[in-house]
Amino acid sequence: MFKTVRRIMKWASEYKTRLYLGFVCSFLAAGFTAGPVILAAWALDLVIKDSYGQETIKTNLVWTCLLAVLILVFLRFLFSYWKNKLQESIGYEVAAKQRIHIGDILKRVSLGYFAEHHSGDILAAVTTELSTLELQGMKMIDTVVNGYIQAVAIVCCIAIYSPPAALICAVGILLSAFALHHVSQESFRTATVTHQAQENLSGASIEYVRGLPIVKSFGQQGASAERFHRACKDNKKLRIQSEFGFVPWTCLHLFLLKIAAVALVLVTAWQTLNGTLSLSEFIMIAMFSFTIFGSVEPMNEAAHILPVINSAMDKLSDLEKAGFIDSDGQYIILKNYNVDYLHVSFGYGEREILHDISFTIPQNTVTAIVGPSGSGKSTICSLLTRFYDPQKGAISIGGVDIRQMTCDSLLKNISMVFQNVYLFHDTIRNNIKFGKQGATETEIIAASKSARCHDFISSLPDGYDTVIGEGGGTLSGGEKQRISIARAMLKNAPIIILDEATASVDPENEHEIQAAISSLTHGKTIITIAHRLATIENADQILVVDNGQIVQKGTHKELINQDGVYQMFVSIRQASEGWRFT
Amino acid sequence: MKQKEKAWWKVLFGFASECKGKLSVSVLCAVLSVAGGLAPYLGIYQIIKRFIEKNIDWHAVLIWSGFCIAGYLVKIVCYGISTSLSHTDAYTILESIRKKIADRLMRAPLGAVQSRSIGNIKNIIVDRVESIEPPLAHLIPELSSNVLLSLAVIAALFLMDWRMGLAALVTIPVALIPILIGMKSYDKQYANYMAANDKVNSVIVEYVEGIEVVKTFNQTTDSYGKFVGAVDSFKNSTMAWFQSTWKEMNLGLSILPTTLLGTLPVGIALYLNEALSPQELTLCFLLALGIVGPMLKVMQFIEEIKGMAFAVKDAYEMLHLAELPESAARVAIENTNVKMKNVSFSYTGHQNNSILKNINLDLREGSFTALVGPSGGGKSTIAKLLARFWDVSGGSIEIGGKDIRQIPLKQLSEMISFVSQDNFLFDCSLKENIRLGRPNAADAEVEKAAEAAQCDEFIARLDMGWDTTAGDAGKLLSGGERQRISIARAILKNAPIIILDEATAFTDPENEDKLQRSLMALAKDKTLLVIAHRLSTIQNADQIVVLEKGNIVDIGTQRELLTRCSLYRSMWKAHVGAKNWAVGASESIFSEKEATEYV
Repeated sequence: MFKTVRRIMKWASEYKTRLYLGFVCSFLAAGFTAGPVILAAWALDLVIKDSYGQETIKTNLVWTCLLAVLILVFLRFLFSYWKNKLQESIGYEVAAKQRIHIGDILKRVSLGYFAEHHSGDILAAVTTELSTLELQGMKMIDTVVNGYIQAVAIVCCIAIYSPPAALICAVGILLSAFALHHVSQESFRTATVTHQAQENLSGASIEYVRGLPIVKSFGQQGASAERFHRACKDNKKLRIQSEFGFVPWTCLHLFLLKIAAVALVLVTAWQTLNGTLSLSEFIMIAMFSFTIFGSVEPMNEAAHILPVINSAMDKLSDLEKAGFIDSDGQYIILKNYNVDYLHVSFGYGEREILHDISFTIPQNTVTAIVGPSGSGKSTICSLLTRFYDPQKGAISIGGVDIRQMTCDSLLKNISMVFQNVYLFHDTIRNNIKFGKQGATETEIIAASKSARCHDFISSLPDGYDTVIGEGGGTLSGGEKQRISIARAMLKNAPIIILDEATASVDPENEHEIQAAISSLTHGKTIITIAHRLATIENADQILVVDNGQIVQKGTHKELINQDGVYQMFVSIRQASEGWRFT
Repeated sequence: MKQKEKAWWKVLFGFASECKGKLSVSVLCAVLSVAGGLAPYLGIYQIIKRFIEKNIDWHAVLIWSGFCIAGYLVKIVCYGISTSLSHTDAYTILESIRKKIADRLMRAPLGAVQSRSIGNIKNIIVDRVESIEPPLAHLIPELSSNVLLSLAVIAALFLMDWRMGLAALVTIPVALIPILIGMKSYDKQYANYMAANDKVNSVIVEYVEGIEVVKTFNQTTDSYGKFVGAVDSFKNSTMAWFQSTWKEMNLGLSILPTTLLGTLPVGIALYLNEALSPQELTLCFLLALGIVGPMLKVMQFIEEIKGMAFAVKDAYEMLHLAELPESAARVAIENTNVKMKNVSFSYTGHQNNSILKNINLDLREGSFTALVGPSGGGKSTIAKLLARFWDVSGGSIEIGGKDIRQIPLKQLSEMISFVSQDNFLFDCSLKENIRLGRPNAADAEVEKAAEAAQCDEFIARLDMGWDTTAGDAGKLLSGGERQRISIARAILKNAPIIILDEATAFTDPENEDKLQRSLMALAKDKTLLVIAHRLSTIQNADQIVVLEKGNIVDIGTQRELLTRCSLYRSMWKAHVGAKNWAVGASESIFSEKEATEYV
């Protein structure tokens, strides 16, 4: 528990001064909260003495008390407000910085990182986990740090009047810490169980909703509902179980503190009977016995939440430890764009996927990569962009090993058109502009025109300001594809990697996409994962990939007469391109 | 149609009825716990009183201390029982809300469900509903008992002296002024905060999902501007919200629990007027201190209740999706001729934004019909209406002379297989996924269907073969392979009417041939309705329906349409041109002559 507190304090260390000032404010606020009770005890003492006839009190005591309480309330307000202002806001500021920092990191790690750590987990860390830290972190350290500071202060104060009473308080606090430790351990234990329960329920909900069309069309409503119901029920059971785990320890924690409070009264009463303590001192302590551990009681919540925060911080620090793929790269400007793969081998993890690949792509030519699914075609392309680095061999552009380059300086030269179009939930203009920071409106429109999307964009009610993905702005797959091509046009990179399947995104408007691709690729060095016979036949070079090896290399004319994968591939393609329903 | 929205708490307590028993016990324990918590005040009072009256002995101190401990014991044990029960109840309520939403989703028109993102639905079912739990669990017992306790203490104060009672209450109106000012814009601010929070999370999601694009196009080392913007604006809006309320809330929260503000001066004044003895004054002060805790708790709940109301509202929307009317009795259907009579459709039910207008169309049993036309023309809407994803807004659709609204959904679903690009597989074995098509099918039949759908080849490649679960196979199966599994399912079902989105044939360019063969196996001898995108694939259709802007432009065979329908002719030309295009070649040149040669 204390380790986590220290960790959060370190997390917020940039705002150390505010953090510590916040603690001071919080301490003072607590002091002023206790003020009225002390005042009441003092007044009561006067009243008692008055009733014994030892002293007389006057009416202005009423006004003095009122004024004093008012001042105490105001001071309490002032310091609790300052505490909020100084301390609680730190969480939001640090979290914002951290979000941006992680954004930078994610851009510079290898794509393998996302596969290895599951995008879902990474996302959860940056969204949910960071939110927990942001919302709870500051509150929890305030609870714990101030709780114990106040406890110590109280023990010291009481020690002035009665050392045995102080001892009892200290023992009570220590014993209750033991119960807290169990709460904290329980929380640690159930965190994973709870997390798993939520994951399962999410999975079941998604399966249920996605499966609805199938379930309905096959008349399986009952079975599917039953599965979902079971998931709900399991979730309920697990969550209740983990709740039950906390209850005894939380109760024990509270009870120990209460026993200590009563023991405090008992000891001071005994001392008063002995005459070692005055009546007024006893009354004050007795009245205080109700609120004396008020700062320690909320700590069971902290003990509950801190382990959750700790595991959130673990996940975040894992993310921040990720190594940049280009940490030792330099900014290099290329002289030409001839691409060379030299004895390249690569695998994701243990399994090698590409074996000893070598080929050369002269600049301004078209290279078609063909081969069955899973043969390694797209992996070859991913290596050129340094989404991954090869384990053996080297890739160079213009004679420079790409591992000597930073991702930025390398990717300046490459545009990719992906099979799965990814557009941001933003205006069309910003999506296109993404290809070139600071592009002018004229440039954007010119790119859209060449990518055959200017016309349909202009016909939208909001034109280039249409937000993609919102009602009314729903675009067809082909339209989105053309916007992504406009983005690539604007980037105007000399090397283009293209998955030809892009063209089949929107079969109805295939010709428009094709026209867009034609203007994008004009006069560039092109590497395409090809499916269409027409493209393959026209390519300057065909690389036939099978099982991670280049099995044939040459032009269509050279290859079509050789026995081998290529011949077979072409005949299958011929059959499917001529396919029709009969 | 438009019903008034029920108050959120009524919705919630509608679900609580099934755990009434536990709930009552929980509340009862909470009350006992609070009563137990009051006992120590009485105990300490007795000790102080005796000290003041100077008739104290060690024995009395022990007895009353024991009384205090007993009170605390009752308080804590009852609290433990109460909170355990109320958590149990809260989770039970959550469970029934979730089940109810699921049930509603099942009975709503499929189209209405599909118009929401799955992420959104999941978020409501899992996360939004979950956020009801903590306030709910604490609310029922703790709020009720704390309110009750406060009332009891105030009543006690009134009994001793009505002026003391009033004095204890004085902080409430005083504190409410700043609190109400602070809360004034709460709903709006909370909504803003939630919106900013959603925004920042969704921007992060798209940043990670689109990381390849970010890497390729975002050329500086800094993050994408939108990302930074969303993060900053979230921070700023959150801070603005808190800062705007911190002052008022802190002031209110400083005043409210300081019950001594009224009771201390008034108590002294009353003593001076000889209305209260010192002992009574002591008790008053103790009682005044005793309600501080409960009052703070009640305050804290007000905020939680607000948050809960928002979550219940989200769930409420899901719980009240319109249902698709369902008829119960199976009807006898002699043939599977489909007849659409004057069918019109719009999502809103209004005529002026119709997606389909006055569609008349016959699909003869065993015939092959293709729907073609520019995107947005209404092709897939026609198909969805036939499968009753939605109900028509006007006109009717009949199968074998029976209006499909009179056919129970189960019976209708037996007659129609809808093959779309959504190739979802359930997380059970591949064999069970296929068997879903006909649950009582024998293994041999399942295998035969799989073979017909060209699945046997890739299933043999998997280590566990048939018994591989779809989840495990997830990474091993390509989109086209998953598609073939769902086609095998439809083959096994063997419904007489097949609706097919032709785009499914091209989901996997690498294995197009296999997918095509599996579709042929499915469509054999069936009434076939194809939503077509590539005209060459449907040239042999018995009838091609050309749709534009929700109207039927023409119906005929390929040859008829090429000669008389100009829209069809231009589509055909574009299509043939697309077929001959190549990456890297300059734009394809294409002549009228070639178009006709292609036929």
